[in-house]
Amino acid sequence: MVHIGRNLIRILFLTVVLILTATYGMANVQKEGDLWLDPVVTKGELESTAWIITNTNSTDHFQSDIFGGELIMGMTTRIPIVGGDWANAPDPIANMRDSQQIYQTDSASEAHALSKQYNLSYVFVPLNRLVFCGFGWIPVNATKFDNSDYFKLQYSNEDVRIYAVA
Amino acid sequence: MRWLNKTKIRDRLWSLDAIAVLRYGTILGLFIIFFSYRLNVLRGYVIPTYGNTMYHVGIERLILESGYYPTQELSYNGGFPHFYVPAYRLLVAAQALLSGIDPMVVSGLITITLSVAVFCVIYTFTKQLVHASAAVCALFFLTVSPEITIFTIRALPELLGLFMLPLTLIFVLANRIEGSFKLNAYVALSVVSAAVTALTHQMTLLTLALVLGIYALTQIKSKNEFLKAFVPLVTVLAVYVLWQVYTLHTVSILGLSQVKFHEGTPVDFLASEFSVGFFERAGVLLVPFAAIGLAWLERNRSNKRFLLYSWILASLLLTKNDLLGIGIFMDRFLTFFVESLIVAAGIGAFAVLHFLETRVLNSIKKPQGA
Repeated sequence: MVHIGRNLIRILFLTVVLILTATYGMANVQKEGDLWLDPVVTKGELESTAWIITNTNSTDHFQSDIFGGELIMGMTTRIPIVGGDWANAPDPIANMRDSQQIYQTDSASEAHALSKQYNLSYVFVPLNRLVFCGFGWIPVNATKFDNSDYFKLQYSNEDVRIYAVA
Repeated sequence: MRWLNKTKIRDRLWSLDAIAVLRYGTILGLFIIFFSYRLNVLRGYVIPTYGNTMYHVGIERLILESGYYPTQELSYNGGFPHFYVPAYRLLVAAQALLSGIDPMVVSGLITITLSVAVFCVIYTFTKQLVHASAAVCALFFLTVSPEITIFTIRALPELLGLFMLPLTLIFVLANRIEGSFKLNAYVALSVVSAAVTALTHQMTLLTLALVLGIYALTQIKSKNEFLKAFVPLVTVLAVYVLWQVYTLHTVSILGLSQVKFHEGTPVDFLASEFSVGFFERAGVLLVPFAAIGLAWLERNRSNKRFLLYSWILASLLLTKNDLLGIGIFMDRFLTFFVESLIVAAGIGAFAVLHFLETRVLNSIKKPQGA
């Protein structure tokens, strides 16, 4: 009887611990963890990588933000202006600054000149999210890329447009 | 199958006492909770992308396409030497090659597998250090740890590091009972494990090197125990130096952007705009139970305790390296600090339960002659 009584207490205690773990404990875990499960990039951006593989050269460089760039790198091995490991990069801060400027500026000619400076063949333009080039989340000023003197639309879906740098 | 001796298994199961049955039941319950949250890694159309996860997928895809580990970077417009250590990427690429599954999906699957490996390695380390019941308590703190959760749901080399560091320490710990230093299987395993850690993740190797260094110093009066820590320490440093000389042609890290620009976020007690909050990431229960665990270890004075002390001290020093004027990756070293506190907290909870068991349950009077 003593053993049954002791074991019942132990079972009750462990059951309560497991229930608290699954409820209160995991609620706290979810509060912190769910933020890191965010894919950030949209479904349309992921779908566009199939077009990139088929229609661009493996040596082509892309204007992108860090998350778009890493998506392009991950799915296609193409080279983005920002994203990945900056440990050994010659001047990663300049890449971040200029990538952000290409998205932010109103001037198509400035965006084009910066794209040429970095030997970028394509501009990856997310339409339904903010972009992050290293200095905070910013909206994309997308209308300048429709200036066909500087950029040519190559691909689009509801989430992203890809322009060739003229 | 000879190893499947049904009589032996049956005898073993029947010989389990109630405590062992409860322990296994608790492990199973905690594992279900731990594992089910990790399945979220595969719920989306792409793996979680925070933490450069898709960058690693890019390198893995390049390995599969070219058959070589790349020498040039894809990052930041490319055209410069690639020096990231290869173990994690080769693991994912090998699995993708063997299974025929896309490396992005394999990265997600390996994230779940490695998170389970972390669950197992924390259990084994704590069990070896103290007791199986303390190990189960450590699994509780592991399951409810926000910091460990964040780093076991992302497809990162650090996740392999969170497994490799305690694994190497397990081999060092296991070798303690083998008497004088000799080239036995534990030395071989600690050397191989240290070498793989050196090629897994730079911050993990720094943590392991400092843990082994501090632990070796605590054992300096015993040449045998000192060597058992010193040999893997030399291995971890030598392997990494060889790798960096091969890729960057220098042993200096001062030219790296992460060093020049002090990449990393400071860790304070509470989160702010400029810092990561220790208590948000570690959970409020961890510190008091870890303190009890350390007090219990100190009271019991097992020499093994110095390995955990070394782990805690090394990872704390690295987490607060901004106070030493270094200021690099403080928030990433925090994960190893929290991992070490989870072991200590498990021991603390074990000590509390042991106290309750003797004081409360034993107050239920045994019948005469029992």
